[in-house]
Amino acid sequence: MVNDFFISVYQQSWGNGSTGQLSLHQVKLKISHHTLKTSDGSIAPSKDLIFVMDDPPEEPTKKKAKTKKNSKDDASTAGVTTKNFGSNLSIPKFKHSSLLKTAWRCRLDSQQDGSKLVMPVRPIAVLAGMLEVESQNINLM
Amino acid sequence: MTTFQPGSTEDAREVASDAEARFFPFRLSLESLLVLEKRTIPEHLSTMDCLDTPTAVETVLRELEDMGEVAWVSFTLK
Repeated sequence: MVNDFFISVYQQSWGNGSTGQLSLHQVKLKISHHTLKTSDGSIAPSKDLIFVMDDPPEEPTKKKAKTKKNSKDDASTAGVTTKNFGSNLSIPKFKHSSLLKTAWRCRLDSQQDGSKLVMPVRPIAVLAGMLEVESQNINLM
Repeated sequence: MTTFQPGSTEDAREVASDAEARFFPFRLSLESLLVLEKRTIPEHLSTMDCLDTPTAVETVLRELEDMGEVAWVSFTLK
């Protein structure tokens, strides 16, 4: 098992009016908290990383008076939409649903040494397979 | 419904030892699904097909390789 994965590649660079020149570069890939085994191409955890669940938000003690303005705000925060789907996980429903899988939202960080690091941000729920819609109401979460 | 915050290695040891803890372990395999954020991706990688789409790790690495960022040629794939 190796901590860093180096591979040599040839990259063709073209200068002004030149015919191109081959130069040797090393490209390094890292996946946060994991190592890549060059023997069989598998990925193994190298140190622990967890995501800590926040407690569910407390119910507001006072209900806001419903106005047109509040109704608009409520509509933007209530329920699951195509934009926020998967961002919040309902664990009991998630575990018992054949339609949901865990995916890891990641960002690609550029390191000082020029390597790229795939860094997990948080787990999200994603749809597995096709979803048949029988009505306009979808209530997966 | 619940949200998550990233934890450090120290957090992992502390939380994993607590039977009542609420956490999600992070383990990857080549078949694991990643959603690579388009929001923070470098400009020259912004045309990758896998961005903001659940994609297997193996495919993500292949796409990065195709874009010249990651070479994966020494791996022996199953």
